[in-house]
Amino acid sequence: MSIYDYTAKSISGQEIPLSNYKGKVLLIVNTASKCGFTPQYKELQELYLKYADKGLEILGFPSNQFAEQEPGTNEEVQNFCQLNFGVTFPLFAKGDVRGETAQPLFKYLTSQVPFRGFDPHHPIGEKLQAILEEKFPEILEGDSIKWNFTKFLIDRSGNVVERYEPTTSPSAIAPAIEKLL
Amino acid sequence: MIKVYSIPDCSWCKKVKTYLTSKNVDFTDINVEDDPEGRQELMSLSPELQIPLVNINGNIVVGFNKEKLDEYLQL
Repeated sequence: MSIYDYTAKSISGQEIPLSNYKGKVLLIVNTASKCGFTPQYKELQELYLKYADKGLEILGFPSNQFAEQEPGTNEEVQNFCQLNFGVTFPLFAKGDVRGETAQPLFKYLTSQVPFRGFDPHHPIGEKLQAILEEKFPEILEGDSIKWNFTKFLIDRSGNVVERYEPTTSPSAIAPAIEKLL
Repeated sequence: MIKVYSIPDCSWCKKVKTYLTSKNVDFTDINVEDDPEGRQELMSLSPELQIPLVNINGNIVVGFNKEKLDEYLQL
């Protein structure tokens, strides 16, 4: 199986074959549809504007699986939400990204690159780890998606080359994208 | 005139509105999901579309920021 064997449902309900994106560098992201822990839309949109004409496509998959789980009201955790209609890259239909009900694409992606932990140097890294350990230990098990804004980088031939946890900001992925373009 | 820009499915928006109500502050709630004009207003106030946004007679508070709300409302 390759990523090009999968389809994704568009917001209007159409099944889009990922083979449509053959030859492009892809960044596949599970987004939070309304507000999440670390909305990264702005930086994703900046990557898209910078690299789209060189062959980058960003595919956003909104999921509410983590949205309701707000990890505390600590001051360092932001106290606002960000609307997502500022982005121009494709957003697909809302769906699950982890567990038995996960979309097949995400089961495939997580089987290709394991979870290797959060970046403890990121401002929310340790906190996210602590919250998951305390409240949702089952999420930490295995290689499933751990939180909103997990990012998978796919090369022009469809190989899943890297996985970035929510604790990697989109701007930090730019050098890896440039290498593949 | 106090305006709150919000959406229904946003916990911080709820917190701001509950707080204002608890302080007997009158406000107009603008649901930017359904109100295109309200969305335009929000965009001009917060290009990054952050909500809740409270406009207290021209003083802008983004997010649930009690201190700023108290300051501008002179609570």
